[in-house]
Amino acid sequence: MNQTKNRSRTYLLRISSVLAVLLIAMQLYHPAINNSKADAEIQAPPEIKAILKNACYDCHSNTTDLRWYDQIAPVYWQVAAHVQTGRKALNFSQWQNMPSADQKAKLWESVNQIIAGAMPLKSYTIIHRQAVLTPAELTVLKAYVSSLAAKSKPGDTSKLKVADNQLKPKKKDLAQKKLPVEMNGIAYLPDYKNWQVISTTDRFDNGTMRVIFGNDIAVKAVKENRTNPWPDGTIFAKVAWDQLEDAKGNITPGAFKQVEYMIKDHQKYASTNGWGFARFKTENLIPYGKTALFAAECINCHRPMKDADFVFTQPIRN
Amino acid sequence: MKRFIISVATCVLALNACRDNTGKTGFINERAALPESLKSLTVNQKFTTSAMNKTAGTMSVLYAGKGNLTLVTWKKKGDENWFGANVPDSLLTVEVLHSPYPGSAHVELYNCFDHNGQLMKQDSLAEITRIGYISSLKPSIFP
Ligand code: HEC
Repeated sequence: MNQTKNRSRTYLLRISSVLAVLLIAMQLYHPAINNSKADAEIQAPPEIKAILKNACYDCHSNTTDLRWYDQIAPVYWQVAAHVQTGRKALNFSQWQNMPSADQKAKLWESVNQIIAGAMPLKSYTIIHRQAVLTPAELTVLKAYVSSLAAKSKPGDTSKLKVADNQLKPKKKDLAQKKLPVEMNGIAYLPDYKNWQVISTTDRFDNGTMRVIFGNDIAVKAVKENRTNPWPDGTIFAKVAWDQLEDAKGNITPGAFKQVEYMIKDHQKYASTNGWGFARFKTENLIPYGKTALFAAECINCHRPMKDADFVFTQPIRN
Repeated sequence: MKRFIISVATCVLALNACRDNTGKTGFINERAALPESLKSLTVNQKFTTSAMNKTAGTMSVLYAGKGNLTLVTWKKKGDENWFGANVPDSLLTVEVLHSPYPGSAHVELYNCFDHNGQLMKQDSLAEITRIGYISSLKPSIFP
C-alpha cells in the first residue's frame, strides 16, 4: 500500500518537472509585440476614448498594455497573434490616416461587432473581464455613432449635381468597355439589374439607400426555404445610391455609389467562408482593395452573421 | 468534491447556454411578403427605382412591365442585423398604375391594394396625388 503511494508520488513529481521544463522552454519563443507611434490616434470625446481604450486598444492600437499573465507562453502566443491581426484589421492609433467616411464606417461596424457579441473577442474577455462593455457604455457608443450619421438636408444641391453628372451621356458606354475585374478574379456582372429584388435598405448610417438583387438560384432558394446555407450558384448584388431628399420628406436615389456581389461556391471560395466577394465603386466601377486580401475585411465584417451563412440581408418572402 | 462537480457542471451548462445566442438564423422576412394574388405584379417585372418617405416612415420599390407601374410600399423598421439601417417591415400597399402608352402621362387606371390584397377605396383627390407622385419617380441610375 505504502509502496504504491510512493511510486505514484515519484511519477507525479516526474511529470510535473517535465511540464515545468516544457513551460520554461516555451518562454524562449517570444515574438515581439512592438508598441509604436500613435500619432494619428482617433479623435473622440473622452468618454468614448475611455471605452475604446478599455475594451479594444490591447488588440486595435499601437499601445497594447500587456498584464503579467498575458506574457506567459502559451497564452502569450495567442495574445501576440490577436494583436497582429487585430491591428491589421483596425488600428485606433492610425485612425486619422483613413478618409473621414471610412473612419465613420469603421465606428459603425465596431458598434455592430459589439452588439453581435463578436468584439471584444471572447477568448480575451474570459480573462480580461473589465473589457466587456456594460449596457450603459454601449448606449453611450451608440449615441456617439448616431451623432456621426450622414445628415440629409432637403434639396442638397451638391448631391443633385453629382447625380445629374452621372446622367449625362458618356463618350464610351459600358457595353463598349472591358468589364472591370476585382482583385480576386471576380468580374463585374452587368446583368444584375434584371434580377429580382430580394430586399431594400435605408442605410441612415452613411446616407445611402440600397437594393439587393438575387439571381434565379437565390430567388428559388428563398421560395424553397433553403437559405441556410444558401446553395452554390447563389449570387447577390447589392447596389447603393445617395439619398436625395425633397421638402416633403420624399427620398429618392441620387448618384450611383457602388455595387457589391456575394457569390456562393463552397469549394471555390472555401477560404472566405464559401462566398466570393467583390465591390465596384463609383460610376466608373473601380474594383475595391489593393490586393486579393481585401476580402479579409469583408469576412471580418460578415463573421457575426455566421449562423445565417454570413448574409446580413433577410430576403423578403417571394 | 460533490459540490465542486456540481458547480463545474453548472458552469459548463451556463457557458453553453450563452453560446451563439447572438447568432441569427437564416430567417426570411415574412411580414414584408406580398399576398399571393399580387405576386405576379412584381415577379419577372423590371425594377425601376426605390423610394422612401421620411415623415411616413415608409420605403418602396417601383416596378414596370405589362403597361403597369407597380409601387410596393412597406412600413420600415430597424434592421436587427445592423444598427444603422432600416429594412421593410409589414406590407402597407401595392399601387398599380395602368397606362396604355408606356411612358406617357395618360393613366387609364389606378388601383391601390392593402396588405391582404383587398382593393382600397380612395377619394379622387388622394388618387390624383398618388398618380402624380408615382409618375414623377425617375429610374435609378445604373452605370
Ligand atoms: C483580443 C484581441 C481583440 C480585442 C480586445 C478586440 N478585438 Fe476586434 N479584432 C480582433 C481580431 C484578431 C480581428 C480580426 C479577425 C476577426 O474578426 O476575428 C478583429 C476585428 C475587428 C473588426 C473588423 C475589422 C475589419 O476588418 O473590418 C472590428 C470592427 C473590431 N475588431 C472592433 C473591435 C472593437 C470595437 C473592440 C473593442 C470593443 C475590439 N474589436 C476588441 C481582436 C480583438
